[in-house]
Amino acid sequence: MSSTRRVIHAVGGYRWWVAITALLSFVTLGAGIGLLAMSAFLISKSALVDTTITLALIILGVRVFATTRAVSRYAERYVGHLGTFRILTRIRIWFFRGIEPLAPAVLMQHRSGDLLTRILADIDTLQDLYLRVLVPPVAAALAVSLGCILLAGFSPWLGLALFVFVCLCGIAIPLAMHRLTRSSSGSLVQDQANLNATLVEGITGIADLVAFGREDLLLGRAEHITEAQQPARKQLAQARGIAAGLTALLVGLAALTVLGFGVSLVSGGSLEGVYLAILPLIAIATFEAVGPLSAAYEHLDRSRAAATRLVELVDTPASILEPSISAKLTLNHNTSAALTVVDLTVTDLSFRYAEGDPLVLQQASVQIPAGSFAVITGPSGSGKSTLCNLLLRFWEYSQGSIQLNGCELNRLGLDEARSVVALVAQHDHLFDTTLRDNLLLGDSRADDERLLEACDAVCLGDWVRALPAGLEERAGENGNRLSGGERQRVMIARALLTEAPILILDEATEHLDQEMQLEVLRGVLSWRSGLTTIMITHEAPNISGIDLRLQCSKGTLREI
Amino acid sequence: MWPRSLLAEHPQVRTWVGISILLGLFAAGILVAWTILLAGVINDGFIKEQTLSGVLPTLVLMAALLLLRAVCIWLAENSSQHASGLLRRKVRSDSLAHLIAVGPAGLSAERTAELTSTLGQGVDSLDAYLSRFLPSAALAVMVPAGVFITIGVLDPWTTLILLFTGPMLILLLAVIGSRTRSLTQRRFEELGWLSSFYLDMIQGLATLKAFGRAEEGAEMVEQVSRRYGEATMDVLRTAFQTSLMMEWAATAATALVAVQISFRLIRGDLSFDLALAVLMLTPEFFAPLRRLAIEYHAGQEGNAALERITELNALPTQTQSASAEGHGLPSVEVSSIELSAVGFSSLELSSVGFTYAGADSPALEQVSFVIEQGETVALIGPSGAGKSTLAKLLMQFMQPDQGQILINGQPAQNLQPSDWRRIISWVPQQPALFAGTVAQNIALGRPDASIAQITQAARVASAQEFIEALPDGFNTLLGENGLRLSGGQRQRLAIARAAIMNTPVVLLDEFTAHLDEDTEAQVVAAMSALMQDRTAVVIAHRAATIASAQRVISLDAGRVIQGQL
Repeated sequence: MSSTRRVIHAVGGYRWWVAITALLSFVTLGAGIGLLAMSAFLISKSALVDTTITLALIILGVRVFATTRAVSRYAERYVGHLGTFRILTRIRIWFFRGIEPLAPAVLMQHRSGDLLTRILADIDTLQDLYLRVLVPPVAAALAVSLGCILLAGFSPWLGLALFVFVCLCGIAIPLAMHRLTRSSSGSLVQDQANLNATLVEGITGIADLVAFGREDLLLGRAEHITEAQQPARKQLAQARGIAAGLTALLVGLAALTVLGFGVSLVSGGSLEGVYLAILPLIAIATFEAVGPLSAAYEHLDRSRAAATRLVELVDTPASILEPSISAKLTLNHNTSAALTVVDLTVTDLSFRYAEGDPLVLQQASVQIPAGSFAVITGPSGSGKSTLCNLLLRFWEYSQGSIQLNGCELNRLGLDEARSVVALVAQHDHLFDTTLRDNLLLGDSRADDERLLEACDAVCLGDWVRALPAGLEERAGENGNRLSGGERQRVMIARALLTEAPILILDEATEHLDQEMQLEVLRGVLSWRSGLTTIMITHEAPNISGIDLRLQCSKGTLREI
Repeated sequence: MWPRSLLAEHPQVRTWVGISILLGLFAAGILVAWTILLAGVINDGFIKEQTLSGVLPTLVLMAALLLLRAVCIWLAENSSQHASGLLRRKVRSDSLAHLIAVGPAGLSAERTAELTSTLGQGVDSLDAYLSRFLPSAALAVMVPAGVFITIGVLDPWTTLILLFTGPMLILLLAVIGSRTRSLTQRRFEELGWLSSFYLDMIQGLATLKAFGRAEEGAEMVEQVSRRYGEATMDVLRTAFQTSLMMEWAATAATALVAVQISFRLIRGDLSFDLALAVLMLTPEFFAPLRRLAIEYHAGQEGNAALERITELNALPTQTQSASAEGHGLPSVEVSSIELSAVGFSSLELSSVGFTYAGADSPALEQVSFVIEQGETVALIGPSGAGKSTLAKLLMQFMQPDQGQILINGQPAQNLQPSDWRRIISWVPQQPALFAGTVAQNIALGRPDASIAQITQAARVASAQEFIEALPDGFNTLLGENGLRLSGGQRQRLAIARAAIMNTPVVLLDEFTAHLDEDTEAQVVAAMSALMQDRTAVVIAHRAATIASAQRVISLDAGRVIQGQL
């Protein structure tokens, strides 16, 4: 099944919109034919100084057609676009749901600028699929039938002549265009994605580029892509120009042929002269329907390229699958605080990110009882962060076991598994919204007081209260309006609010100076008394109350 | 107005747009002649009752005219595409070059995705503006005028109707157009906002999942997409209303002309061929105006993009913002050759102050110190003390608003920032990695470096071991976020990146924050070996780094509290 069809069927609900839009489009085209024919007939009748009663009827016809045409054109466009935007929204949701299981394991292999192009520009491109690929042929078929039947009413040959010209224009030209532009349309979609990826990457890393004198990585590459698009764009313009020229030529020739036929019919006596003016005008009006067809293939090619890019990603198998039968986590309740507590047991866990990669974890085993504070230290690259990725179910493990209260982690539903573990890692994301919204991610039902309490726990409460906008302060793009230390503490506060049975701080306090680090840790520990807290760091903090000290090296865990 | 200055700045573009308009005008002229001939032939067949052979010569002439017209249309499309191609390349390059000149500090308030959509889709929308809107606008004035004159010659009475409806339509277009303008502006802003939203969502998707909120993400995608659809519909509705009015007025006028002519035909005031010609020419009077109404939307979109691009191009560059402060210093250009010949001898900050736009209190105030050649100086202080601001000033990403930075005793603003950056290399807090191999990322500042130099730099940064353990070693491809690299590994790549530069001065911005003690010790040892004859400024809060420093400058609340010279 082609990618466009796949997308169309995945979101569905398009048939009615397309049918109604095509019908309205046909009414517009038909009224156009009627208007021109009626006007010409009116003049011709007048030339014969006909009775005014028929004239009045014709005049009424002219008016009706004129109004119908204007109104139905408006309705056609309005309905068409309205429907399309609804469908596009559905496609966006379908796409977002489709890529959600891929984060972060698969998505990290794509540049975010490229992903942005897919969800934005590629999906926008698909609006042409409905408005400029599906609707015009239906409307054209109806309108052409009308025009040809009208002419055939005067003489079958007239209808046939028009039909031949219309087919040349509506089928031969689009096909030729398609051959000319197929590769160009597709490559433009890809080029646009490359350009966006280059721009996002270059603008994000502009400080590094400028510092190292490599502005060309942004400017040069962007120029290169723009330059590389040139031939494809030229080819498209060529094809468009040829199609426009040929269409204009064929319209005229069709009118002339019909007129020539008509003149010989009139002189042969088989047609009244009063109808002669109508013939070429019907031909010209009918051609209005086939004009959009020449571009239909160009739009189809672009839509196909865009749809392929969407489907390709959505169809990527996720590394993690929801278990077919989700086990239920046996919950222990810490009766004194009414908190859910969980024992974590890792046994002989081995893991590599991809076939052929070195093992990042090698038979790692550890037992962290509910409510304890564990500190894991070890050199960078020793597998500490990988352990977090597995606990959060971002990657699938197959060797060894991870158990929560004796229940195997990969047999739990994904949402349930993730509700057990909260993680604060270096590359966590802060959203470009208010501090409040970012904090609410941890607990959507928390009130401001609760949010500030969490901030207090990480020594951020006074800072927030002193902000002019308080919790309404914006965090900026990935928290770039905050300092490194503030950013980390907002993320810790956010994780505290979840009250998850297990909290992992993965190098989460590294931007803080030692004093602050200790103060934040004390706040975290008192907030989470009775719950498990795991701290991953390079250097064990000088703090009392560490229940478990673990050393991670070369993928193994060892108690010290 | 914009288009005029845009075209004035790019004379070549203007020439090609002009050619396209001329060709369009020529095609319209042919159509007028053809229509009159068509009316003639119908008259011959209907009134004069001629046979096919009688009208055949005219039909052949008309076919020839059609061919000529087709060629005009084809050439017009080509030349307008040529014009927009020229403009697109020029505008994109110029704006990007300008943004680079504005630099990282100046761009920190801008949104990445919004800039991307402006420079990507925004610049592309100039295409439709230039190749469709501008020619339509020009033809909408010229063609109706030509048709008006022609009809005036054929039948002066009809021109009264046109005289009445034509200007009314133009007025209508102008009124509705001004409404569309603000709406299109809003939609363009909405698009920038939407891009930022989606980029934020994509980059934060893993975080959303970790908090079990992916479903809410989908709901937000729906809301935002709806909102964007509605903003677009608002613009389109206005555009459609415009064309509804145009269409209605044009068809009504055609109907009026038809009725009026038919009555005069009956009274015998007008001959049939003239009447028919006038009737068929009347739609041609309105056609260019209707076409303009259709293209108006494309034009406004291009206009909105242009306005945003103009805004971006007006952002002050680093050198402009420095000179705007008016240091009143003679701008003696110290060339890089001179600097590298003399070598680096000292870096001095004299009463340097800096306040971020919109901030209440200065980030740095009265900061003065001297760093001599060969020294290793540690800058310490709590977070928010101004260390990062100082780093940005030292890298000349921005200029101090008070005091000055002196290099070898010369004011730094006399020096091209790019020349200064050949003297100093930088290890940032959060290094950006670029799509490419590990080797390419290390050789960022020295793209011509040999494999041996790259390996050497990696060794200095204690990065060789982990790089060689990657699936393809130095040729492993990295994504923009440094696929699968840990924080410490990314940091070491950044150190290797600086090491390969071999500059007399290095600036290390909290570079050990993500390194464990073992690695940190290795890196510190390697760096100090490398820094033997170099000057180093280290922003750190760890004992290991400070230990190797000869001097510690301590910052608090934007002021030097210890180590001031």
